[in-house]
Amino acid sequence: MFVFIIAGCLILSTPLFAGPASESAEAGGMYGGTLTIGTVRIDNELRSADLRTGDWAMDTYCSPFLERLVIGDVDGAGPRGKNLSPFDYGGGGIGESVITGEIADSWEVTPTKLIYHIRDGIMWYADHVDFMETRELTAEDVAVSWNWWKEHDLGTSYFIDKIYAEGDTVVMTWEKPNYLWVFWTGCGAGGVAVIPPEVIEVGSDQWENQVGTGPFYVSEIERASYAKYKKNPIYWNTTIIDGEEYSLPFADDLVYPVIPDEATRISALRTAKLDLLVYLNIAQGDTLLSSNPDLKSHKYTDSQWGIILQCSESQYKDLYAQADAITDGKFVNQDLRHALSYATDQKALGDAIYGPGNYELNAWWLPVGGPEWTAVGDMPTEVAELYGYNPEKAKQLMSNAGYPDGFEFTLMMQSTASAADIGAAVKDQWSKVGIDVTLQPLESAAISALRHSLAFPDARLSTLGSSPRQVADYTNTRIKRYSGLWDPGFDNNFADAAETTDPGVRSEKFKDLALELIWDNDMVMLPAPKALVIWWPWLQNYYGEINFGYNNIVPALSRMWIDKEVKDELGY
Amino acid sequence: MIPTVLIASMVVFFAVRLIPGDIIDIMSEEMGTFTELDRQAIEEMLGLDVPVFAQFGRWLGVARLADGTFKGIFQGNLGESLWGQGSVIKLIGKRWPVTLELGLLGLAMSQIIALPIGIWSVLRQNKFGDYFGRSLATLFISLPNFWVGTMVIVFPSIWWGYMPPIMHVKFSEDPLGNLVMFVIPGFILGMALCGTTMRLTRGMMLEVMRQDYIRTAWSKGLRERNVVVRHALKNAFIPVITLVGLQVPILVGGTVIIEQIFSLPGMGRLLINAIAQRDYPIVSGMLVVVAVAMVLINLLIDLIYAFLDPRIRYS
Repeated sequence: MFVFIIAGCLILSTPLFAGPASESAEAGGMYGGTLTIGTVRIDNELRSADLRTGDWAMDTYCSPFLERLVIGDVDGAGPRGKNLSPFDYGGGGIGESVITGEIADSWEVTPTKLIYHIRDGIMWYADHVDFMETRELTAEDVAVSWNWWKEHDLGTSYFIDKIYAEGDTVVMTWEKPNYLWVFWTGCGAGGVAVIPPEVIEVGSDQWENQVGTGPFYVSEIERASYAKYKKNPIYWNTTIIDGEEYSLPFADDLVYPVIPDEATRISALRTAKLDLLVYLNIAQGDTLLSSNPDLKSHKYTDSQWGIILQCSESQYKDLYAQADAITDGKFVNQDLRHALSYATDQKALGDAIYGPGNYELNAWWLPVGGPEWTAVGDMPTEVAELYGYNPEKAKQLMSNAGYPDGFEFTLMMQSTASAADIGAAVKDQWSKVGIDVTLQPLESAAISALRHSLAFPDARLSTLGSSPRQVADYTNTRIKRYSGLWDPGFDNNFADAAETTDPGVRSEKFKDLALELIWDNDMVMLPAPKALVIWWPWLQNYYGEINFGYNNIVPALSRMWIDKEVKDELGY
Repeated sequence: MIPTVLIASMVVFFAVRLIPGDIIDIMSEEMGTFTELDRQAIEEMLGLDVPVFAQFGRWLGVARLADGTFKGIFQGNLGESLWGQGSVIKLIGKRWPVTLELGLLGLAMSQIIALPIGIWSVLRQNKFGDYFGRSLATLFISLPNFWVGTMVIVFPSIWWGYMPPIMHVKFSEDPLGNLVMFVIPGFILGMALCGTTMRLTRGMMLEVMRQDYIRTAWSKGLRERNVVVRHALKNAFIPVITLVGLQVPILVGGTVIIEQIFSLPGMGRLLINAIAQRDYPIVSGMLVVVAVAMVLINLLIDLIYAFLDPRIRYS
């Protein structure tokens, strides 16, 4: 009896001796600690903070402190909310239905204007610089930043005419609505991010001059080594977890180490020198996960590869060349273009290079599973067949096109390992139907020089880009279609879709246009590999999101916290 | 020395401009869209709108810039980065300590390991010590340093959960941390030189040890240490010094890969990135600095000869 009383007392008194209960993820966030993140864009030199240089890597390094008018709705539309989007898409694929206001708290899209209502109470945090005071952001600041960006516009916000502040709003006028407003004015790349006039005046390219409204501010940059940021103590945004509101960010410090070598990055993650690695190719990711089962991961679809075929040299060189000039390209004949697809065993190629199940056959246009996307199985039969393998049909089509015994051409590609694998695989497959391909690996600057000199090769192997924004590059409405193929009917339909203001109707139009583009086949589709984002389990409140605008993971980073108990338990 | 540096700088200046693609091509590629850039305006802004010979004259400081001033090598100015990273001299100034430390550690560790083993091989000729030394030298020469570097990063991370620091630690802030970061890459960098020095030391020592004056030293009853260090090594060392002098450029060149693998922000990475980004002033400026350094090192080697061999005197 006595023993039972003592045991009962001991059991009941356990909470007194156990120490304070740990704050689990379910109970809310933990403040403090340093997030060390392996980013998707490795800029070896952290050259310049000036987003006008067009260096997209700088979007990654500037996003911790610079904000945009709108952003992907991390709390409402992602895995934390209604799960409308996994936000795991690297390119500019954020649609209207999944965005929320960042610097703007609301907006209006009219036939002649885009009006952003600027949020009250957002502060420029400037205690770390001496050329400006910490103060409230105004609509005039946004207008000045935007006009400065537009002065140096390299064609990105071509559809915006004027920008001016009107009270608490920023007004952007246009001739007619363009669906790309979400990306090119709202949440996308480059100068879409808002910077203060004072920074423009002293020099926006210097890292020590950077001031923003974001959850962090720049504390230390060592070029080619790291970028370090500290928590913005007056950051405006909050998040709700289990009904309780928390100020952001949770972490005190954010570090982006610059690790150019991939093996070193993987080892850094393995040894917990990195808390999270945003990109790892699927083959290495699977090996890492099998040897480190504690790690968490999320699989997403990377950019689709394709072969851009030269359909018309003169059309490529002169957008306004006469229609009868489009006969001078090697691949102007659609049968020949289709033959290449039928001669490509995409499944075998994907299985060999990426592994079974680690690729997507159709990853072009907006994210896989999105409203503009069509699964291969749901495509019209003749379009779906282009993803199949039929060497006999390939030979028949080649014969129809006047090449019964095959033909030869040069395939230009980047001198990277991925391109080399894919190039060698398609060369081998095509040789079986009599197509002799000479692979021409070149450095990216050399490729760029060739493109700008309009010396377009027979064909070019490249990643294709994966959003209507980049598909616009393939139409003749604004920018030359890379293949030189001139299809005025398509261009008119594309322009019509781009001007459609109803998102649902527009998505249906783009869905049809995507199938049309695939049928045109001036770009032979190749599998899109999967990739992984991998992180340690002590990172709480993270669901594998990598992008809320353009390579912008910061909204997720600001909501992440480090569970020190879990980290200790794992021995780090 | 000056003509050598001038000729080297001229070769580099023109050679880098022969690479296909220029900075404007890269800028437009990075914008991600094939747009019509105002190429002329950008060329004017970057000083690329004049003929290459005029650009060379400006870079040397014998031709005026667009603003009428002279700002070239002869005025002590290596130019400005085309990508807005600032003065080339300042950029190199921030990066050369890393490469210097890496190179010096590589050199020092290679000699500290190679000389004793080379001598040991000679003293234990045709015995286990000799076979071990020769095998080790062959291994060091044949293993590529990029492979060893990757293995040293990957396998300890798997077996012991360890890897060297990934972010640069300055010596002035944390000397021990800095050495921890540099000692492994330094050794790997110096491995090939270590193997070559081992073999050369062994060969030269064998030759010297067969000389009459060495036999005389033995016959006088001197201890092994005195015979080797005071009589043999000094004479055997002259070709080794020559080798070290010839290997220093190779060592500097090898830092590119080591810096990449170990994430060290040195001159090697700056150079390779500048070439990839067509940042001509950085490439030209760095190669001038390296050329000057090589010439000075060779001068130093020549002076060391005079110290080691009294028969050598320079008029």
